[in-house]
Amino acid sequence: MEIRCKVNRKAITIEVDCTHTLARVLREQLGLMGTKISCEQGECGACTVILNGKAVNSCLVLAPAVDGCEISTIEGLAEDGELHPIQTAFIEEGAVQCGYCTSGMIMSAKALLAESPDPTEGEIREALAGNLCRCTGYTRILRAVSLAAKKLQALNHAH
Amino acid sequence: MDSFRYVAPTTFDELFLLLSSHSSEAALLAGGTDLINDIRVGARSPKLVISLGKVRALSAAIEEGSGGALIGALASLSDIARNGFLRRKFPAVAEAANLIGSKQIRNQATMAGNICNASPAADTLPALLLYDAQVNIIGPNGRRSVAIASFVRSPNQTCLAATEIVESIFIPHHAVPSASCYVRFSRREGADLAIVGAAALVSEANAVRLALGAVAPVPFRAREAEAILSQGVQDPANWERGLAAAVAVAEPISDLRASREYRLALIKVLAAEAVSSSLEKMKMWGCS
Amino acid sequence: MIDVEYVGQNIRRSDVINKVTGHLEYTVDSGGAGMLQGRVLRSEHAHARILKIDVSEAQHVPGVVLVLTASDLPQPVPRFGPVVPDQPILADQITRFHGEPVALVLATDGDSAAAAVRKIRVEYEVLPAVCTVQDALQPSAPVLHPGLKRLDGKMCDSNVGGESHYGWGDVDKARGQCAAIIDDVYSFPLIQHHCLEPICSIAYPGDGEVTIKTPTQSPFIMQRVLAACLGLELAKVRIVASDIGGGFGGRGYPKLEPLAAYAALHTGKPVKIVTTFDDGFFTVRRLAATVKITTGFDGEGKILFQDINADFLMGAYADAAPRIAQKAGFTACGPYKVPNARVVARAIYSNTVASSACRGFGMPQLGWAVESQMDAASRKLKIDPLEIRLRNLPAKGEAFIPGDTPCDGEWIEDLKKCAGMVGWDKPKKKNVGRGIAIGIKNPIPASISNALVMLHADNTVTVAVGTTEMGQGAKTVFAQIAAEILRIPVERITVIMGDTGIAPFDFSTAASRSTVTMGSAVLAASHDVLNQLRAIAQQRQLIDAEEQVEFVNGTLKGRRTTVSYGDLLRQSSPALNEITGKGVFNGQKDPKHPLGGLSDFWEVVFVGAEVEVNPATGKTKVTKLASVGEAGFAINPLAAEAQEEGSLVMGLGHSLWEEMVYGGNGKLLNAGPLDYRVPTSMDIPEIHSHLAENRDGPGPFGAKGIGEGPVMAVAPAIAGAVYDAVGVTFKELPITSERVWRALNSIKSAQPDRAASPKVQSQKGG
Repeated sequence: MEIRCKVNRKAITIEVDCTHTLARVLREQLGLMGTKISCEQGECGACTVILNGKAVNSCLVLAPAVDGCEISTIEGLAEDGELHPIQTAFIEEGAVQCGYCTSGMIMSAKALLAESPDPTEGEIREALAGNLCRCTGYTRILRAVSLAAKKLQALNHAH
Repeated sequence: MDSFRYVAPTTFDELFLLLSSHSSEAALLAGGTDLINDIRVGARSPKLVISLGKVRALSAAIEEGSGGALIGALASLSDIARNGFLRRKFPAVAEAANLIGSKQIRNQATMAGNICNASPAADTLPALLLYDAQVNIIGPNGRRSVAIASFVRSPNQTCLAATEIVESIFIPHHAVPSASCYVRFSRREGADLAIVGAAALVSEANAVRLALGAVAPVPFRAREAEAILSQGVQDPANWERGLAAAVAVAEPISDLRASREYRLALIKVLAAEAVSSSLEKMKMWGCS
Repeated sequence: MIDVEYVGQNIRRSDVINKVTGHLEYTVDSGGAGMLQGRVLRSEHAHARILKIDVSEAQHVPGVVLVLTASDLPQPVPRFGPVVPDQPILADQITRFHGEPVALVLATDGDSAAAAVRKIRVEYEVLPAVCTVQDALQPSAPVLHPGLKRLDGKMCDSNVGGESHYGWGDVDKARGQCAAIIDDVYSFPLIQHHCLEPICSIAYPGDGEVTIKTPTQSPFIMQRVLAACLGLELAKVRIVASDIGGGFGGRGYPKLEPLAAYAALHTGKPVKIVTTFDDGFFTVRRLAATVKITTGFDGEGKILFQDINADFLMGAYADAAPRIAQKAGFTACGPYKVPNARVVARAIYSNTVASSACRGFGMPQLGWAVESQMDAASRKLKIDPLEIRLRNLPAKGEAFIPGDTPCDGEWIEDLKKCAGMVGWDKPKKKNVGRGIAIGIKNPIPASISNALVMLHADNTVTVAVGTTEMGQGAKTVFAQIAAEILRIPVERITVIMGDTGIAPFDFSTAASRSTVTMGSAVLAASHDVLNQLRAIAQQRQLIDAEEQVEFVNGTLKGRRTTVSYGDLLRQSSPALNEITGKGVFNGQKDPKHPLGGLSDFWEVVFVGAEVEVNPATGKTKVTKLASVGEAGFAINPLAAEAQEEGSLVMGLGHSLWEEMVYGGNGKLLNAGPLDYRVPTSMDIPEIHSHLAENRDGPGPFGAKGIGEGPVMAVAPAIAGAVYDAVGVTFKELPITSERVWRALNSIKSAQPDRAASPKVQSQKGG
């Protein structure tokens, strides 16, 4: 069936198999491989994207259900070749090791900071509780999100 | 996944027509966080998935009324968790919603879906039981309302007929000022399932309500415990007897996650915590 | 203190840019024209005879090209394994663990392949299964591999798949001199690596040759094992390691690659086998262990003897397990001075998923026992747990395992520092406790790493190494080392990793070795480049034979000549596009040593934990985790600390929550993330990892290896803290809330049940 939606600010119309998940459509039809597939059961968060402003597990969203929706993926963050402050914060804090959880983490962080520009550590922990990481032990990821919040606030003040 | 067709009706008429003609092979899709995974592992194999998301008459809103709160079938758990009205007036409900899964799950999943899935460990059920919530059902033959206590029949089975859906959940205001709380015990802090869930409500004159989840086939109000605790929670004897009464009616199972004996022991601790926290809230809000 | 510019700095890692943008191509992200999709059917039983496999329906699914079972393969069925080639690429008449690959479907697309897998019908005759050390060693137990030749050359006539004996001094004599003898049995559970990236392997066939793209930590081991399995020449097998989405040892040895390679060669088409995250539970795990240990102490808590019997529970196929038991057994006595020792380490076959290398390589399991014994002695002799360890630690330069490298760090100082980090002597509230423990292992003895460093005519550099990148940051570390020697900025250095077709031989990326071994090879190769530049300058008479030259900012500076490297190359006759430097690290060989060579260095970690236990529920909240690691010199401190932190949290997992549970019939009950619970962001405590850097390692600039790290000591530190908090001890892991509750209640069963009423009573006056 045909769906219309916006992916990373770009309006698209595509034919989808209604049994396919959003994760699959992003990766296989749109070539956006940055959204990673791991557990496929909504437990690990590796496939997290932002759907109508909310972080969701794209492995649990059916493709036809995103008709009329706005989707943001990791590929939509950097603009004109410039890394997004969240991406820079992750690098600066050493919050990236194998990278498999990173896309999902960054998207969860982005959704959080859009809602809560100055989150407490508790709020960050809760926002990321659905994103599993086996490499980092989370400490640097939490710091990266705090740093990203500061960077974004500074940018907003500058404007 | 095995093949299925997908439809997104926009009216109740369309919806009920679909349900009438395909009920045995159809599955309803709201948030999808249970359904999609069930289909993936082959636990459910619908031939038709009916999305409720485009039915115009179904609401995702949480309405504040003088009578209580009306939670639309499509209201997400995260909207419920952060709703100021619910947090003030029905805190156990907001707290329960906030404990389900992860942020990502809560952003998609609905409370209606949680009660329709009717897992013995469903977090929202104990909280809704405290307030004698009403489940507003609609079908081709019209509307009816069922008390939440009668809504779930057995694990994963509700009283919904094949052509009926939940339209909204109504939580009536408690008659007197009150505070409530939902606590649960899980293995880890982040994104887990309830091993034991306890919801408590206390009101003026220290009347106590207590509902337990994950310790019986269906979450329930511990009526005898309530009666005893309501005689006065300041009396340690009432406390002991009341908690013992709650444990006495529980039928927890032993599984990978916890043994029966452990669950029984946790009931006392969690029930006590739920009641204590509700009392603290009452005090903080100046209700006592 | 040498003046360094690139090493010791938190240089921005070259591997992370693509990771934060989502552009990094993991194996599963790779596609290609004409590629066949492979999906595996897995056995439903722990031990069964395969009576019949009916693939007729599966073969007719549109899109299916071929369905392979063991009977379709060359006979005898090709087998593989890094230590003993005991695993058939598809289950051969008998399936030995729940989840063993039984059939492979090849189709033009993944959906068709998956649909066809579901249509394969297998008839099994279920056989008795053994899933514990005890069961596997019963005389009546089914023997998994009768007649198979073990690592030590002996034939398997029971489920003992490997056995090593170590010892020194006289244990029996020492017994008589002890003030306290602690005798106990400890068990370590079956644990998952839980890599986020599900395994995916791609095989590209050529004319009698094959290239494999797969997330492997050890491309050369993969090359050797694959070649042996399929009867190919080494030069015909090329392994290209993808960036790995989590390794931890679980990607160290072949898994599905031999099957993919066979399928590709057989069909003449590229074959991509895709698996799920849950499949990981049926592919690899850490060794479990039952350790019987008797430790004798004198009145001051000094160890007089260790008598250790470690039975490591391996899976149905050996993988690296016999080597793990052999190696860990050698260092079983831990970091302490032990004058008399007897160690027997065995690897026992069972009908569970194959166990392989996992962070710590057997030492977390042994450390659980040894460190718990130290705490037991501290209780018995009434010596503080920190103090008793201090009394037993060797000083720098002091031998502790006879015949091997002596203590090479300031371990006593490190332990004290760790204790301070966790607030050892600070007052504690009720139900709060602190524990401390030490972990130790060595890298791979007598190992080899080769590196090539190519200097190009534009003053840029390519480093080619067999090391692989799994998030540890080796890619950047090698660039930093080369930059430091060559005096060329890090940004102008490209590092190509893990391709056997490009890089010369490296043993593997494992055992915390790469910074020291491959780092040394890169260092040597870089010096080789400088020597060659010198020779070129000399040959062109730009400098004299005996002249001292400086290498600064990519230029060679002599008395009368300053010339950039690039110019030296370009102005040669004929002009040179590049020169290649070669470097090699050869570990110290010792034929008399049981492991073939001395330890290049010791990886030692000190872990402190603070916990708060809820006595009503038994729930343990870890409030602090601290570690000190002997790094020697951290080439990239941020990358090093980050790994130690991750290791702490990995240890937290098996300390409190993680355990693979096999049912009575040998079926795995909790495959998947729902009931195998790893820590989330809401479960971690305050974490501090400190690196001790005394420039006393054998690697570049005094580096040692780190990264396996604190996972080796977290469990006993937490167990010690729980005892300190509420007075109960544990011999098995994980220390779940229920286990703590049970332990507390068997002690306190006589006391009345006071369920949290204090809170209510405080309301009395209000």
